[in-house]
Formats: sequence, C-alpha cells, structure tokens
Amino acid sequence: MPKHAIRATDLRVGYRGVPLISEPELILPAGGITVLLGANGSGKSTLLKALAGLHPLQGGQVWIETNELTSTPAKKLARRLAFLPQQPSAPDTLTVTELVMMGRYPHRHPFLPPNARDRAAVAEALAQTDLEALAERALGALSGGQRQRAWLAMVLAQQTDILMLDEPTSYLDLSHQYDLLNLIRRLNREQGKTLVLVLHDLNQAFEYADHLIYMKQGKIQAQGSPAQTATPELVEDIFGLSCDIRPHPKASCPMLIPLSGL
Amino acid sequence: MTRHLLSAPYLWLLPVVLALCLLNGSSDTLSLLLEDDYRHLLLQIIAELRLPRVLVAALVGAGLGMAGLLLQTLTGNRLADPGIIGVNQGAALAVVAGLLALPNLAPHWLPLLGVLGGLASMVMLWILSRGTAAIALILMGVGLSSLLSALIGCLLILSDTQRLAMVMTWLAGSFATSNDAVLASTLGWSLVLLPLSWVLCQRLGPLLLDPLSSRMLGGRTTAIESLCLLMACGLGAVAVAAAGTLGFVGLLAPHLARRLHPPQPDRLALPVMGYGALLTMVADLLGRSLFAPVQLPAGLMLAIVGVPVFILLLLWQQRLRGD
Repeated sequence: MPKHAIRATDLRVGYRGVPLISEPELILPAGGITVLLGANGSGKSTLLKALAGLHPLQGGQVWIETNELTSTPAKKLARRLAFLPQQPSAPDTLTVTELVMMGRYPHRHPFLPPNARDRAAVAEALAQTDLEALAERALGALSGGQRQRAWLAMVLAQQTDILMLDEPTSYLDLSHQYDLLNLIRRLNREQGKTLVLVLHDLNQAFEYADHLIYMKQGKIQAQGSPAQTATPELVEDIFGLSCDIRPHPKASCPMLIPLSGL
Repeated sequence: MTRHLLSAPYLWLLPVVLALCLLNGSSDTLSLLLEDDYRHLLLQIIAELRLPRVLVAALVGAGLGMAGLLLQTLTGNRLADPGIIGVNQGAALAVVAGLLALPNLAPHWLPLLGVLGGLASMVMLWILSRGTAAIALILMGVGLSSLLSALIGCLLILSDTQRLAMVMTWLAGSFATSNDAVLASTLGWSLVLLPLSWVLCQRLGPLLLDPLSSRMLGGRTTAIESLCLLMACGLGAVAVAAAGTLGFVGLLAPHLARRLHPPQPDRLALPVMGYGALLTMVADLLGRSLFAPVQLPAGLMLAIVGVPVFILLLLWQQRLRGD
C-alpha cells in the first residue's frame, strides 16, 4: 500500500483561465484524517473538487493511490474514491435504502439486480450510520441530520478506501456535528479509511484531524499535525482572527479561544 | 394482484383505450357489429383505417414519453420535453426541408432526416446552456423552438402550393394521414429505439442525484449523456416524421408516471411508455370524435391539456425551488 492516498504534482486549478490554485506538490497521507481549513473563498472546496476530478485541471497531475485521475474510467475511480458534495440532492420520494443502493452503482453489473454483496454493503452502511429503523422512509420525511446520515451511508456503501466530504457538518446542530465527526473517526480507526474533509470549525479540526492543510487565497500556507501547526499567528494570518491557543483540558489536542470580541 | 393492477393503471387502461379507439370513429361501428352482413365491412374499416392510425399514435406517444423521460433525467429538470425545448421543431425543420427539396423521398428516410435536425438543435441548446441554471435550458429551448417554427414558416411560404397542403396537414400533429407506410416506418424505428432506450434507462439511476454525486458514482459520463441526447433526438424525430410536431406528451407522460411509480428511471421506463401511448391515443380519439365529422388534430388536443399543466409546473418549480 502506498504511503500517500492522493498525490498531486504541478497542480494548477482555476476558473475560466484565471489561476486560483498553484501547488508544486501535495500529498495526502493514507489512512489519516486530513482537514482542509481556510476562510470562505480560499479555495478549499475547489482544491477538494480538483483532487476528486470534479474540477478541470489547468495543469499538473493527480494520482488517486496508483491511478492517474484523468485517465482512470469514472466507474473504476468510483470504487477507490467517494465524494460527498456540500449540498447533495435527490428526489424526496426516494427511500433511504434506494439512495444507499445508488452507492453500489460502480460495483454493480449493468443489468442485473443487486446481488448479495450489494445488499450486505447497503445493510452495513445503514448499520454504521444508525439508519436501520429509517431504511424504508422517504428522504422527504427525514430531518436534516437524518438526511445527512443517509447521504453518508450512500458514500459508505461505495466501499472505497478514500472518502472526501465537503463541509459535512454544515446545516447540522452541534450535537449532530459531533455524532458525524465521531462516526468519521470510527471509520478511520476501525476500517483504515482515508478521510479528506473541509471543515469550518477549527476546534473540531484540531480534535479530529491527523493532518491539517491551511489555505489562503488559493495557496497552501501551512500543513502538518494540529500540535505542530496550531498557533495564534497562523490563525491570525489565515482567518484574520485574533485568538489564544491553549491545550485542551480533556484531550491531547490544541484548543482555540477566539479573542476578537474582546 | 389487484393492488398491483391498481398501482399501475396503464396496464389495464391500455387495452380499454385501444378497444375504444378501434371501435369508435366517424362511422358508427357498433351498429355494424350487430348486423351479420356488415361485420366484414367493420373488420375492414378497423384493419385498414383505424389499426394503423391507432398503432402509430401509440408508438409515437410511447416514444415521445420516453424522450421526455430521458431529457428530464439528463437535465434534472421536469419541464424538459422534446416539443418544448425545440428538438421536435429542429426535426420538423429538417423533415419539411427534405419533403420540399426531395419530394420522392421514401417515408422511412424521414426519421433519419429528423434525427439530424433534432440533434443539431439539441447540441446547440446543450452547448448554450452548459453551466447555467436549470431553468435557463428550458427558457432557451422555448426561444429556440419559436425560432425554428419561424424558419419552418418561411420555408412553407417560399415553397410551391401543391406540396404545401401535404406538409401543412402533417405539421399540425395529426394521425389522420397515418397509413400502412407510415406504420411500417414508425414500427421499424420504434422496435429498435424503444428497447434500446429501456436498456439505457437501466443505467441512469445516479442521474437522479445532483450532478456532482452522479459524476462521482461514475453514472454521469460523457458517453451516458451523449447517449441520452441521441436517443431522445431519435425518438423525437421518429414521432415528428410520423405525426408532425406533437407537444407535451414528453412532459405529461413522465409526470403521470412519477405520481404513481417509484422515481428511478429504470422503474419509470415502462410506465412512461404506457402513459405516453395512452395520452396520444386518447387525444386522437377525442380529436376525431368530439366534433365529428370535423377532425381536430391530436396535437391540438394535447396542447389544450398540456399548456396549463406546463404553466402550473413552471410556477411550482419557480416558487418552491427558486431555480
């Protein structure tokens, strides 16, 4: 197994010819939780999409494990890498099970009904996200948190080594945010999945991430573990927020206390 | 079983409507049926006049419904219909030009001409509306279809009057001219395109999701998108070649099917074809019997029902979804 899950060289990404991101080399460690941080418009979502093949590259190459991104067929890629966008949408009349079964699309034979492995993968994804009781419920009848879990179950049913989640905690209340993050950590620890997420909450990032990538105006300003990188200077530079960084009283990670209101 | 039949009304409505269409017409056939001497006359009327017409109507309806389903699934917009966004008009323009320029053209080549015209307008629309809001495709399509209709009008005025009458009857969206030759051509093309589009629908499940998710599942590739467009244009062109520019079947049939069946394209494919066939058969039946002996084209009947539904859907989409 390669040391990196995703590697990009000479990466150049932009909108309509205007370059936004330009990185000579970017490596996302395999088996870790990598979190992209940065202010709104700093390019974190664009970088994530470019690494998933959803945003055209102006230059450079991206490898997903050993597969070069642009030359890998979409279905083959979908068996290695799953991606949950910021605002996924599906018909309200679709049931949770039907949505989760969509995750089996890249594994399924075109014209055969789902086989035992597909059904087992769906059942496992529903169990992991605690959705068994809602399996036959229509998506339109779910709360925001339940729907987000259903989508997570869909990408889990894809059974990929790499999972990319673009702001998975938005639109969730605080306790559901932590439920989701704990699930993400469990997937990483128990199944060795590589996770790449975009988060807005720095304290959540410090607590759950192994590797942090700080972005500002399309540039990667810093990367490293939370303990290495969490400094008031860097947070001030990236977010323009004055703060204090203290050790977390219960966990072995840094904790941010905003000071800009004082 | 009863529940199954009730949940899929097209299954039992189809034979009922088919029988009604065959027995009902400008001459009162029920009285003929009761008299032994005339029974063979009735059978002759049914076999030679009504059967081709009803079958063409059913095939055209099934094809247009399927074309609508494919376009709606592809664009994620439930207002997409080959008649509304200009595919049918593009096909009609090509067919009219063909009829006027090559008067001796055999009818089974008309769909091929139509495919070229439909495809040209669809590709133009697809390129113009890439990356714009879902509603932009519909609005641009409405504009495109008016432009193409205007071009058809120009062609008709510039052509000589003898061929004009023939082309005008056909353009109105009518099954009155359906004969064995039209039936043979429509049947041949439909037997290829309808099963192929059913097969295609088996692969379209992920297109129900947002574009990013469907692309990441490997379900929205250029190949799949192109196949959907090509198939929708083909089905639209066959319908146009057989019956002129019939609108709104592609809008109404998938909408009816979604009310009664699960939303996945593979499970909607058969119901959509069923409802499409039902709609055109009923429209034709009403058109020729409401004001008999005057025959109203089925296209007019469909527009009378279809336009209000289209407007309601448009308003509903604007208000509830804001797109």
